[in-house]
Amino acid sequence: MLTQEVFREEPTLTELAFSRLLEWLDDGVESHGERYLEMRRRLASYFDRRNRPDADELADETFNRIGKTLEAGAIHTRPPARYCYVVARFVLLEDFRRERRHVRIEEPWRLDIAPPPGFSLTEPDEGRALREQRLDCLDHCLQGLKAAQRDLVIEYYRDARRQKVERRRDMASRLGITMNALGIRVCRIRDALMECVEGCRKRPRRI
Amino acid sequence: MAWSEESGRADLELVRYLLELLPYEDSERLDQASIEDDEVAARLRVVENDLIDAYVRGTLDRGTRERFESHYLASPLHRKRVRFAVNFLRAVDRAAARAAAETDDDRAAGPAPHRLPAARSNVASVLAAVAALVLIAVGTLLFASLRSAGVSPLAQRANATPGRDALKAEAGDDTASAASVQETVPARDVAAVRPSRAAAPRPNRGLSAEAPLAALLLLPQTRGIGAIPTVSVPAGSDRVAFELRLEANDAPRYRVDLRNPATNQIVWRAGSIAPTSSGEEPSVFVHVPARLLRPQPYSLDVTDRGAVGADEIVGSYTFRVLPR
Repeated sequence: MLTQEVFREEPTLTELAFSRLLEWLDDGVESHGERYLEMRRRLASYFDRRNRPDADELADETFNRIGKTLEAGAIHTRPPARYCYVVARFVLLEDFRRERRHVRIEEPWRLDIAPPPGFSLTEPDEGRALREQRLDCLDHCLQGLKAAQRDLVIEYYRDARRQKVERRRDMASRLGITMNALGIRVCRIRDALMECVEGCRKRPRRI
Repeated sequence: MAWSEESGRADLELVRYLLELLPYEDSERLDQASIEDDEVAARLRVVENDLIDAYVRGTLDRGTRERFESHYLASPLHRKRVRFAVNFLRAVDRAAARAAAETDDDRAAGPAPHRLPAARSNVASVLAAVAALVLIAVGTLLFASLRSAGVSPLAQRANATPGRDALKAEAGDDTASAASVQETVPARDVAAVRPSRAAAPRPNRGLSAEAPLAALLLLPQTRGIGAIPTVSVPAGSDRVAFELRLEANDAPRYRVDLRNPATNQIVWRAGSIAPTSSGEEPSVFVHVPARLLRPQPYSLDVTDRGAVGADEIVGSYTFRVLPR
């Protein structure tokens, strides 16, 4: 029985369950799916910080369970983010128990806490051409930003040592937003750039 | 980097959380807050990116760096973020340098010429042309009059022919009309016809060859004990140029770290430099900001950005900065 529970695959969300999940996460404020994406990111980061190699899958598992609950009825725990944490914690504990029973042989180094030996800031086996491609993609993606976004991210992240905090405070003041709001704004641009680079790398290069 | 120098206590706690240094209860509390609390979740993202960037730039203190490498980098997703940050920061610094260079070029070229609205510009252009012609005419007349010992040709005509008063008046009117045209044309457009002092190039305030520049050639270190090369940074210098002679040129690009040997801390880094060859001897050239250099020894570590495996230090160049 225990073995069957461990290997039982949770079905993916039905369309109804998914739409209810989005609505529930929005909590009355329409976000066009942004809230779902943000919560998924938070859950995946949570699982990743807990050294779960399948962080994305566990985040989806969390949403699957919440969606099934919503299909069956209402959830009274508020706010929705709190319930997400509660379910995520259960999913995490179950994953720990699964790992104790089944050692993941594909990544034996995970048993140690240290990263693989010889970690390099470049990808393993990444030749010069690939590194140049990555840089080209980044330049291309940076140029693809709106000018205001590009200027913002360059000004925010450029190397300026001790003046960094004062500079960011000035930027936030000029924009009329808090430093936190500024930080999250540039973080989103940075994440978008990361996705853009991944997409650019997978496309065949034009000669 | 001593994190508390620039960040608040809350950020320091988040850094310790990311590096798994917090007690269990605090870690659980932040686990929950990272999902439930919008402010904490946002702040955590910012702090994490700053931590990654500090690692990439080499500004973490030794203990934090070691903890980062042993714990944070245990995650494949974290390693992916760090690798992205390497190229991201390089691209950002490159774009910032390009923007700064363009700003310096603009300053050197001087202010852009004043532009009038189109309609007024056309009228002003015509008036300016008329003024120029009148000035040329008056100048020619004056020149001719000098030739004839100060007597105006028009006045001569006036003297020679009847109606000289009218001609005198004409001569006078010519002069007066030139002046009146000048007064009619707006002063700025008259100035446009004259050589403008405002168009003279202004001193370049950015990094430029005009500032005094210290330079030092460093050879690969041998095992022998010899005097450490020294460099003196002139007052007003904004950078010090180093030529680092390589024993061999095995890589397309190198990273150069300026290290304080007393603390083993990297105080400056040039991420990706292509070597150049003077004759048969390859070298890497770097310009270190002068403001970073104190009167003490430093080392410049040149690292081969290896195609496979870990980066390899191919040369370490020690020098001492002399007191000013």
